[in-house]
Amino acid sequence: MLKKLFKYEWKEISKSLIILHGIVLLFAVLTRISFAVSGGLNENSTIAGLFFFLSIMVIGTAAIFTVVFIGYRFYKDVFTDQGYLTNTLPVTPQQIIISKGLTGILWMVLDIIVVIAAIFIIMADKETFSNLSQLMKEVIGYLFHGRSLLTGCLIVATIVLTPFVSVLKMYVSVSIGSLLSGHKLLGSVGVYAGIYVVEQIIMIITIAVTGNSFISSSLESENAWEMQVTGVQIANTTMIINLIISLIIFIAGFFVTKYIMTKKLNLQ
Amino acid sequence: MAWDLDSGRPIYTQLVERIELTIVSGYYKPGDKLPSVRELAVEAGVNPNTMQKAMSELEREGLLFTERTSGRFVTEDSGMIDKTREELASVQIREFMEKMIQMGFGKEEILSLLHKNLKEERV
Amino acid sequence: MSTILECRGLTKKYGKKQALKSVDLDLESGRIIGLLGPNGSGKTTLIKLINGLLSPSEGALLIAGNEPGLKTKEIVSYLPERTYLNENQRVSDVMNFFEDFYSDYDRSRSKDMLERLAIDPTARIKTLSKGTREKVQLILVMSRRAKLYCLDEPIAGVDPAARDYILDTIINNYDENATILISTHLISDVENILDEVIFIKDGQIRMQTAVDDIRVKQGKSVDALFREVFRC
Repeated sequence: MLKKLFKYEWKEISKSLIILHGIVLLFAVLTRISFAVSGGLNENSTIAGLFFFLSIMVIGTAAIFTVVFIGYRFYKDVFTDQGYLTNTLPVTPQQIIISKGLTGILWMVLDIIVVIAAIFIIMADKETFSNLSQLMKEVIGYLFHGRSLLTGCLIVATIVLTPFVSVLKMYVSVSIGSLLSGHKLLGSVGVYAGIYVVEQIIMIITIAVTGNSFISSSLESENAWEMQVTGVQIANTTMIINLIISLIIFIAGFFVTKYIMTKKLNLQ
Repeated sequence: MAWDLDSGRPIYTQLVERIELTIVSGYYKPGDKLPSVRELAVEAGVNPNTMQKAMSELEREGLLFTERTSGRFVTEDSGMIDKTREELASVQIREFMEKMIQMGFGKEEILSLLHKNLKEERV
Repeated sequence: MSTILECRGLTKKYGKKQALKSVDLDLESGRIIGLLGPNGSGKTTLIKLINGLLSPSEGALLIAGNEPGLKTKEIVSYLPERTYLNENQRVSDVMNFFEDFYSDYDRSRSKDMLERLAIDPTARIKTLSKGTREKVQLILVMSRRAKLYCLDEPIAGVDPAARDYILDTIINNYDENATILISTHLISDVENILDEVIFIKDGQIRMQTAVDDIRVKQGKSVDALFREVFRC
């Protein structure tokens, strides 16, 4: 059943998202062509400049649209009239959340890949690849060595977890918003904003507290090496707190969404 | 589309009457096969259970019989059919008589009125 | 004969409002049953509870011995009052969908009925008229060989010819191992196809009887009795 749910969900949301991301790539290609024609970004290439600007806009819009679309699709299929079909299928709410969630996460990853590809299309030249691989080697070498290993892992974990958390943040906002008797979508936006605000507050407190200890310990320390180590520790601490918050949002989001779909569903 | 049935009277009784009528009028001849319960139910616009009940009643009366695998048939016993025809006729006559008496006609008057109408309406 | 639906003390509250008050109910299989009541009487609430779209506040509801969930959704076929199909899909897409998810879906039945109504399977749902959409949904629901069919107001808001078609479809797809529960306030149109009726008002069951009993014992139609019982 899960595979079938996934298949239909994929078919449904890919229709719009493929077109959208196709447009992104189209703009990137047009920009690149206009660069080539006008010999680069200079005063003589207003068209190139325009395409460049538009490309940035389109890329940004696509990224935001993708995540909002994923959330809206969940809302439409589970909490509006279509919900009469979705919620009476012989599947569990868990299966519905997982199939839609995985599809959403996959598309968020695809979105990032397309964005990166677009940037490459616009900017890359012969030297880019060698420069980039050189940079990557240095960064990886630095990050995954000895003391910095933890930092490296935390960065990877954060990157991997991000699409999962983004999607579930949407789902839980939409679910909680559906509990209102009117203006459900508005309520969902409100919940989403609320979660965002809470996250930011916690991060600010974390940074303030760890930043404070950094300042006091650096005043005490006598050499640059210790300061550098402490700096890394603070970065790690911040990232760990962020990961914990994200994980909490992810897990709680899943269970709250499931609970609302099971016990608190109230289709109009 | 559906048979014209009075919701104020038991449906299955009306179905029995209707089917009896189709048999005595010759619409279904002796030995004819009846449509399935489901088909008749759709035609009549009624619940198949109710139609089944009516058919069972008619079987009990002897107007229909079931052949296990082939379905339901009208009896070949024309005596049975004639008897039913007369019973239905009696019901109609009784109703007719009641109404006429209500209107104040006596039995002699009723007979002569019948003669007159039958003569005039000879088609 | 087995019991397809059992309710014991079934209650549903929305805040202070009680949509269903301690309902006790038994439905046998092989019947066409009318759930009759004025608007707001709790009909839709009961049907949503049967389909797992609402959770009971108190009491129990069992379908073939199971609480509403995965197992019951496989044997209950639901026709809500609304269009629940994705309007961008084609009719054939929806048939594929039903075939994929419901093992009791009989595609040939659907094809037959659609052909007879001259509905193009490649048409998109949004291009169909309201009446046609309702017929398509009904066809899909009745093409499943379910154990319990819940039809919520199947003939309201539909022209008389379509009504006849819908009632004929219901009779045609009747299965003696299944129960059809029809919730409606248009009683005179459906009473001839019902075995049993349940009168519901203010969240409580007022009466549950065989239909011909009403006609025999009280000498009136269900519609007439309804008007008496629910006089304003």
